[in-house]
Amino acid sequence: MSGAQAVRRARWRGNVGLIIAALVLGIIVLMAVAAPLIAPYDPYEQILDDRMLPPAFVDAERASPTHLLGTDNLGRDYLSRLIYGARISLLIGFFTMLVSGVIGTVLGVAAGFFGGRTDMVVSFLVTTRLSLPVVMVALAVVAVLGGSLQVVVLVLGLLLWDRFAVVMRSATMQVRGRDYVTAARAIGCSVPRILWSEVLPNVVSGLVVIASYEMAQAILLEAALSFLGLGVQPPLPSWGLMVSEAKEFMLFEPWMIMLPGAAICVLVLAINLLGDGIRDLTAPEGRR
Amino acid sequence: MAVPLVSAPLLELRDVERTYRVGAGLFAKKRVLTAVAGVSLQLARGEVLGLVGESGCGKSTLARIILGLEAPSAGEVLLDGRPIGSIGRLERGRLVQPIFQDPYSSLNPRRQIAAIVGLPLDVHGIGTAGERRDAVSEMLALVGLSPHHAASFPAQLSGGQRQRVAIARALVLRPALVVCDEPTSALDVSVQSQILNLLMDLRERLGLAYLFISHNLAVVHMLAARVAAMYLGRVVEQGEAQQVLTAPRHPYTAALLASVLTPDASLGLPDMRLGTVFPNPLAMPPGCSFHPRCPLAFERCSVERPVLREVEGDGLAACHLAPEAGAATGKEEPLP
Amino acid sequence: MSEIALELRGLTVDILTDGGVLHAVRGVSLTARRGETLCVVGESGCGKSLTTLAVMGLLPEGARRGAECMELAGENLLTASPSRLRALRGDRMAMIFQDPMTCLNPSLTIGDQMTETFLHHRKGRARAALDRAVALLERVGIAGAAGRLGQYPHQLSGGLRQRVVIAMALMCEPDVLLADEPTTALDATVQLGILQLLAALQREMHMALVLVTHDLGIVARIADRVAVMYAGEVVEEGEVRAVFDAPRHPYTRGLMNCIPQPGITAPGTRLGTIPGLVPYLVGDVAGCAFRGRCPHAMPACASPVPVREDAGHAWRCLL
Repeated sequence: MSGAQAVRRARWRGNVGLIIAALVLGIIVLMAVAAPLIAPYDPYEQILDDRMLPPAFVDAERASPTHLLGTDNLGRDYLSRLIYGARISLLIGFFTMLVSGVIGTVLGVAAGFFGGRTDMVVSFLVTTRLSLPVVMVALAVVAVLGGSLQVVVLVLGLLLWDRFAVVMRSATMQVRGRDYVTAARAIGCSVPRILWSEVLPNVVSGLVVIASYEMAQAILLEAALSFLGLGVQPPLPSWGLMVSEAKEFMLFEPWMIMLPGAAICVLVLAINLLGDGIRDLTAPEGRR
Repeated sequence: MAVPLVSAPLLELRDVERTYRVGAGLFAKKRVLTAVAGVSLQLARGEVLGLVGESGCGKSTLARIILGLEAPSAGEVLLDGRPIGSIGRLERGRLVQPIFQDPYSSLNPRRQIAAIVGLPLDVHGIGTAGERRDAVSEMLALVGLSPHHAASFPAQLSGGQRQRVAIARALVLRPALVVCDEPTSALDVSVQSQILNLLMDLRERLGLAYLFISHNLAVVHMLAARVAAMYLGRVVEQGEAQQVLTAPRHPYTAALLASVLTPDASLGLPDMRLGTVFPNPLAMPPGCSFHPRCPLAFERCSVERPVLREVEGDGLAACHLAPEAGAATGKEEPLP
Repeated sequence: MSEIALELRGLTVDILTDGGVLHAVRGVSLTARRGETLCVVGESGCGKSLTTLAVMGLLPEGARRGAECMELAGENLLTASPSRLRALRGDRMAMIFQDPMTCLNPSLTIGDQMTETFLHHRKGRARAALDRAVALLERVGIAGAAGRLGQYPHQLSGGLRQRVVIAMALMCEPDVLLADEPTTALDATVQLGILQLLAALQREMHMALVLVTHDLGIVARIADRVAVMYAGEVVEEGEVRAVFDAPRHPYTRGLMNCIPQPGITAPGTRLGTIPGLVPYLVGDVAGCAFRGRCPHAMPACASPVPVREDAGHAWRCLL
């Protein structure tokens, strides 16, 4: 095997993870979007006669042919709840990432570009934020304001921006010293224009990886909050809530807790692998 | 002897000073770094002024001040007779433009060449989209790049080609003054000569004035009519290029000159010894800032800082030993 | 003629890239004798740095080296075991690089780094190592040498750091010192001091100095012999006066025309140029690599070009 072939092989090995992740994520997103079309039942519909039916692969005798993944303690179809639950997780993950991304990028780029006092203020904010116990603050706020999709997104978005800020700050500091930024100033570009057209395009590559990481974090945090009862409120089919509701039946009907748990795992893993894969794709180019 | 200028010079610096306060952290005591002090220069339209000196001499800081990117701590900078602070950033951009040393960091890697060269036109709102395209094509041809490069990205071009793009961008607004900060130092020898020829051609065609900063005295000798040598933030010698670069009056300029290694295989290494006391802009020596390394230093040098004054043979020098202009007899100390 | 310290024949270095195999060094032969300075001169991409790295065995991942002969003071480097090579590196052959800051470990003191080499190779006592370090620091012109041993690299200026790097390289008195652009990052006055130092040390220690540079001025003043490289090959080689007085290869001639010479090049004249770009050496390269840019190119240049010789002055050209 020649050397050039070896190099190509190594590239492919890295890409396989990316392709699998992209496929899995794609399936989950499609599932969430097409939920009304593919879910066999309404996730809120309670069929009290058919409570706690196991899925076919657990106990074929008691299983029902129409409920592929069984039903929960209130007779709601598990498969439908899982499918609709994807929506909740993706929505929370995505919008939290958006909110925290905007806050973190604005603060980080400002600190990196202007330096001086701005940098001091932002660094102070980051230090303060890092000293806050995220889960406890989130719990406290949700306890006061009540748990709803919007509140959870807002709270998590206001708490998870620090990594964005730090990465954007250092990336901006590197770019600020480049001659093309100085040239733009000499041409007479206004500061907003320089930030938008010279600085931002050159720092966004770092964003992708952080964004995927924070999205995964948000999903996990929401699951944790819901599990503790202070996230999204029932009867919403959030995967975290499903885990919480299933914990009392954990010993007897373990599938009830394993299915939503596995779903969370798969989604977070896919998102992280996607971020890693994209970083691997763009980093070697950057190194050359 | 300099002919008295009828109109205001294109660029005039009067006693320009730039200091920085440096210190680590919030509570550490700040020290004062003097990057530039007491610099006075003049540059007429169409003229080339060479600025030579080594790292730490303040030439890059001076370049930024002249470009209007930093304000001097003291003194005045006048462009076309007007203080630079009173000129808006757009108008200033039409008067003075830079060309930098590193061709790999002077172009935005995310933009195409056409967008890079057209940026000044876009920012200044000059012409329609079609007119701008034409102007960009014209500039690319002027700097010797084929038109198909307009759609390329910087990563696809070589160092020399990128430098041509940087030149095109600097000249698209037809500025009167171009600040060239070591424009060929990062290029290969064979590419350097191409770019230098280009800079000379463009100067003649467009009537440009250059402030040519370089540590390569041979290049400066070729391009510049007048030269100023800087050391630790001050101009130590100034005058006609021919005079300064063949018969310098300041020991530092002489040392710089002696350090130039011409490709003459019949000679060995020059015997200049400057010692190993290195200049530290944070701790300037008392008196003449060059005296710790100067082979001709005597007692007065460590006490009194020499003033930049007119010396014999035209030009200015800041050395106690330089013969005064109009001295009656030549009790000259010939410099080694 | 003094003994040969380093003999290199037919060195090739291939680099594996996505687009194929890059032939970065194609059959380079060099001879460095004790007490002699050989300068390898060329522009970026000619393979001069890779040549020195190949000799030291410090090529990056993905680079393959091959040679007909590679001998250090008669010892065959191609067949030497990795442990023997490690023993030779730093002891019999040493290398200094362009950026002194990347040669020096920022978290170790100067003294630690200098004595490390000595203690590893000579297995001597720490006292002997320190004494030698102080002696060498003084020899390279660093005042207060004993005090410097406890300092860290960031406390020294660029010129001083380069002197420390030179002293470090000489701790074990190597037969060959390879210097890859040691003064490119330094100011002119500092550069001259470093070059004077290298020349003096070479005379004193009677070692072979192989200096890689792109600056023809340095070559002219310091070299005894010069090898001009282009696109992975040595295109001209000989005593420095012979090559500079009468360059035979069109590339060498072109290079010399490009350089402004104060006093000779009249102000306002145009410099000579070499049109075109360096060829990309992927895949098979036949014939003269310079023919695309040569004013005297002929159809015969597409076939392998012979090496002509005239009293120790060799060049690879049909002319």
